[in-house]
Amino acid sequence: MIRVELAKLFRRPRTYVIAGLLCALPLIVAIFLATTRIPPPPGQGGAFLSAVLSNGALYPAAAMALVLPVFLPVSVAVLAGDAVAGEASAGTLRYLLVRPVGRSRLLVAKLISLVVFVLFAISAVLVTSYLTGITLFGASTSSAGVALPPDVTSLSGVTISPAGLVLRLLGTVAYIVISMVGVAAIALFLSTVTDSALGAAMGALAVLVTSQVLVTLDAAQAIRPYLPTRYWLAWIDFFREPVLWRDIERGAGIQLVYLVVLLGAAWANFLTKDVAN
Amino acid sequence: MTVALLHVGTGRTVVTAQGLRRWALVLGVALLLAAIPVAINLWPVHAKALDRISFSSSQPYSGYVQSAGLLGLPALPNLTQVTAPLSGTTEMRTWYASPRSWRVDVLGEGTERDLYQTPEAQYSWDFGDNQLIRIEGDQPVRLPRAADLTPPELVRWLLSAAEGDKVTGLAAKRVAGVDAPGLRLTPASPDTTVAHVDIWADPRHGLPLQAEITAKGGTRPVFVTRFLEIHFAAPGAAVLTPPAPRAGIGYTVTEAPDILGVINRRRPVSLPSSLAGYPRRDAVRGLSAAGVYGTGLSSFVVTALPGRFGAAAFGQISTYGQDVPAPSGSQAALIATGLLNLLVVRDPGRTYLVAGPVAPTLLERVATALAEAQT
Repeated sequence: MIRVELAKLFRRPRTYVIAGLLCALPLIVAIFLATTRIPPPPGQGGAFLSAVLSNGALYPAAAMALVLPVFLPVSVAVLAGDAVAGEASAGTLRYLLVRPVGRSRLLVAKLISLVVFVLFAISAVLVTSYLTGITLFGASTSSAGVALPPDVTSLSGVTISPAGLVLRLLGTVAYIVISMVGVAAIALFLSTVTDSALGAAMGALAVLVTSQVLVTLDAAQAIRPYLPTRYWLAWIDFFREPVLWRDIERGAGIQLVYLVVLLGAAWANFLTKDVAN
Repeated sequence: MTVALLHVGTGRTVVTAQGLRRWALVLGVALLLAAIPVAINLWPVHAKALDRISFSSSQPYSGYVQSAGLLGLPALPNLTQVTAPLSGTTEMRTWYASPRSWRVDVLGEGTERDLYQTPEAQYSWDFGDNQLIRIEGDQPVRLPRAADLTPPELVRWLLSAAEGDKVTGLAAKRVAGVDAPGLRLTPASPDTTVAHVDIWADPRHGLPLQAEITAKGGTRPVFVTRFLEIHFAAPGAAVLTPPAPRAGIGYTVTEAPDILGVINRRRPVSLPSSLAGYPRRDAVRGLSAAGVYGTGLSSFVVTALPGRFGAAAFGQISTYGQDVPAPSGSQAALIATGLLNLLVVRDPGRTYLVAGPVAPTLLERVATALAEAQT
């Protein structure tokens, strides 16, 4: 079941188109930055963007900050919204379920294939942006003639060794995957409610946009810790020295809560749903 | 599907009953998860009220501080690092080993400004500016900064200023997981804008964990600073070591890290010995740019600003504030925030900036006195 879903994910051209689009955005930004060398003023614009001109190896982090707020959740919401509703509107859900396939297993398989997609897309962004960063913003060459990334400055001013950078980037990837699992759970639940893939994706995006607006509103302080997007940017804390775990832990926790509740809701709704078309 | 046809009772099928059970399970889990933070907040607090909180500066700690100000000050040129913490939420990480060894990080989204105190010097690091600054020597006068707003620092300053003010006990409160007894400080002076200051401290170490300042006429605090996390272990040496200067980051050494320090070094000014009935306090050695008038929570600071900066500050304050009557030949404007009030007085020769938690009526008298002292 899971293998079937994964094969479906990697057979479809849209997977590669979306990953390509995600990789293209940091590339475009990097080309503009490298040719004009006008960094955004510190504290404004994307995180790390003003630092990458001197620190090419930090570009993967800047690329994450570029794709995370809008691009990545949109693609996850579209794919997750399509997961069940798409099958229903294409008329394939019926045949899928006529094969003796447990509905709970189908939901889990859909979720796992979404997680794999996020991993695939983020890895693609990381690799391409790292290559972009060291080609366009420079890397130091060691005496052995091997191109090594320069020591990266953490937010706290202390240098991060290349090994430390790899660990922190892995932590970032894991954290972003967890954050996107929350988005996928929202869209997947809506996808079991409606037969319209577009409607499910729009619904999930509506939730995210509302949450983003409320996060910036001081008056909504009371509910801020419960908003799904509140801790999205907490992965930046991996680049502080020492690593600030507080928001990372809370962010992972809240995504887990959303996952449990909404996947549960999807399960409760989907298991007894009449699949008519 | 045949089970769906077996009616159970009135119109309910086995399938719908199963569905309802599943939904009940999901709702139950959701409620349970949502109740966790509420339960933590409502957990009863058992702590004896303290008669006296011994605030010691020798207690090492590390923690996570959040301060929130509702003052709504406009951004003033060169002073945004002062006005921002008073007008918004500031998140800080702090490590404290001793008065001569500590570190405070001001966290922003994708940025960080750190201040290190080492036995030799102070270091400030700004990631946005990619700049490390070594600050040498005593700073006889400096602008307030975010590191002054952690509960221990703010309470130390408030208590040093609050001689003879009334102190009453407050109900204990859970702050950063500690059952903290509280006390309320009510200033006696009629000229201050502060109605009361509420302080909660750790009962074992006497470390202030939360402070709230409420302005006169207000029902809720306009400034709150509190620990969200606190650990009473001494921080490690590595965390207190500032980054080393190296290629790729800017490095400067200075004795005057902010505008007030620069003014202090460049142009000594003479300020009146008393203003609006408040005597000028004994000057600190090396301090010439600013004068402190009054005592406790009804004190205010007067600074003479150099020409260009003075003009910009006056422009900004008169745009956002209101004009104040002043003797002919000079202008004055006031920004009243309820707690901290700012006055700027400008005459052809000089610009004065006056700031303090004092009533606007007092500042109006100060404006007249300053303008007359000049002529």
